Amino acid sequence: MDRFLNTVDRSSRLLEGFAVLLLFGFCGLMLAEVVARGFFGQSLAYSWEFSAFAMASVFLLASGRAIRTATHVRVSLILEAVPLRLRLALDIIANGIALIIVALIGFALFNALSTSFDRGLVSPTIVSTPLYIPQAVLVLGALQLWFDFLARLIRLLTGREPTLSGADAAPEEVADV
Amino acid sequence: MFDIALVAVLLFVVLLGSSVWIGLSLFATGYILLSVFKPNIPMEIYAGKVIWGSTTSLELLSLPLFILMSEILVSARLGRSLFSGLAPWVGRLPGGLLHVNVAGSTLFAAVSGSSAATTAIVGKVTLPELAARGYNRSLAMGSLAGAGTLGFLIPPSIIMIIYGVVAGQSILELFVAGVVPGVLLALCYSGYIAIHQIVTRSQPKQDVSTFAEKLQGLRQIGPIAILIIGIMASLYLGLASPTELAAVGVLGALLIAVFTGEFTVRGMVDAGRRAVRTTSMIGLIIIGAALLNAAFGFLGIPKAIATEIAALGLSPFALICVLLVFYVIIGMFLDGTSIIVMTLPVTLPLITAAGFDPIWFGVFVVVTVEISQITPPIGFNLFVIQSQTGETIGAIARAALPFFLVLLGFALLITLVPEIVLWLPGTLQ
Repeated sequence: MDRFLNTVDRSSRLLEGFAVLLLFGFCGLMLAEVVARGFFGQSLAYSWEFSAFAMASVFLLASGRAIRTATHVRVSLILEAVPLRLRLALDIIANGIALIIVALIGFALFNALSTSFDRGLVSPTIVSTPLYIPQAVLVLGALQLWFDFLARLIRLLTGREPTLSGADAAPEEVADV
Repeated sequence: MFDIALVAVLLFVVLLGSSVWIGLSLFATGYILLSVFKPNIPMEIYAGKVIWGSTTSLELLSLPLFILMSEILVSARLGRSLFSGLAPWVGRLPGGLLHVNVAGSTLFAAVSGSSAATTAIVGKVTLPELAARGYNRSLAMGSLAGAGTLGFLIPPSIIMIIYGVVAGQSILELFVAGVVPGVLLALCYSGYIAIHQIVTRSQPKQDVSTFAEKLQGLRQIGPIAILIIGIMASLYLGLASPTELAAVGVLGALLIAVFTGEFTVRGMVDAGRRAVRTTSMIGLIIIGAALLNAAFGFLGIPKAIATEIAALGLSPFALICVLLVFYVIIGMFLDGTSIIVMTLPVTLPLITAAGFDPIWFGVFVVVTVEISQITPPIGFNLFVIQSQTGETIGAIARAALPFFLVLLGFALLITLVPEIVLWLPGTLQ
């Protein structure tokens, strides 16, 4: 069981790292666009389109890790007001519902991907990017999110801590004066 | 129609109450509503289209970049520079170093789009320093909770980007519209701190700073001041789109980290990791809200509610008061992004029909979202301060109560004097 949980953690962290690369990458692309437009008077044909694909990928690729680190928000009012055993039961039910909803999201994205692939859909720009490529990244992100929810459910059922606290926290600070 | 709206509300409340994550609750409510009331729509195909469309919206591109900029500045230990740089300048004001909470939040808000990030970075340094110098703990926490909300009002603002995308309004114009109210609200906070000190004389006396100390302070906040001036000037002069501005802001933040000697590859990767997680959190809400709003549109719910409320014949001011109460109540349970994406399809048509400017309403909604940051049980600034002080949410909420009242009064003030919001964007045109 630990092996499975560790594998999910590792792949989740890996995809988050990929999301970081995409974020810095599309930031660089936007800077290149500013330079190209400001100094050379022409726009990069692919900058906005690729940036939008990168952003969509970031949304999903980092989602699994966001669950592991409790970054995704939820209303925990009732959860915190009930006794410990009931809290655990409620959390397990919420986690089960989340698994179903994320499966629906993944299935919907997979449908979009297969439609794009079957019909040869491309972006409506001069770049004509085949849409199934960025959509495949989104499906991968949704799949990782589902596995992170599954790992979370297993942790809840087996008495393990579901949340990883303080991951990549900012440095401590003290004033100079 | 109202039976469908009721089902939607019940479904959503049950999911939220069961602690299902907000983005997923929104998605499930939209999915079920369409599946039940519009069975002819092939959901497995339609939902994919909605997700793809909402996540690749070009207007959203500045959002992750502003989050990244803010995280890089956090990694560059900007909070320390803010405190050291501002303390010599505000120490002699009535209320002394408590004003660092307000001035520090105002400055950081001008390079960050997040209220929680502003509260965290300023509070990390000010709360222990103020405690060590014997300042009133309650006022220190309350002023930080209130001033931290400026992160949403002073541009760049994540909440304004979300509003601009959902309402179809110019993000640039919204940013410019937030400047004067942001500065005015900061003055209101400082005014309260000063009056509190004049009345109670409860804060310790501060040593007078020398000219050399003030000069040293300026050096500390110099880099951030240059970044702020660059961002504000580019916004006002229309030199760059919000997205391009955000990218240049990330570069500026990286340069600050380099010049202050805080740049490490590890630190920047960690900043990136925190940024993608926050981005992903907002992304999941956007995905869910897109499907729910599509369902609302198909079912004609916003139009039906708008018609019913219009039939009540409320005056514009009464309408705003009703909306203010409504937003304060839902703000107690939901975060800012969710509040905007869920309510706007219903409230915006009401407001524009009553003759209000959508840009003005954007700032008004941002102020209500600020209120939601400091109202229990769900108030993100309260959570941030709780993690820094270990105090109970109740104690922090009580400390923030005067600043909650300042915000309420401020919402009414901009309603009575809308020029506070609309004057600067007017000069832009």
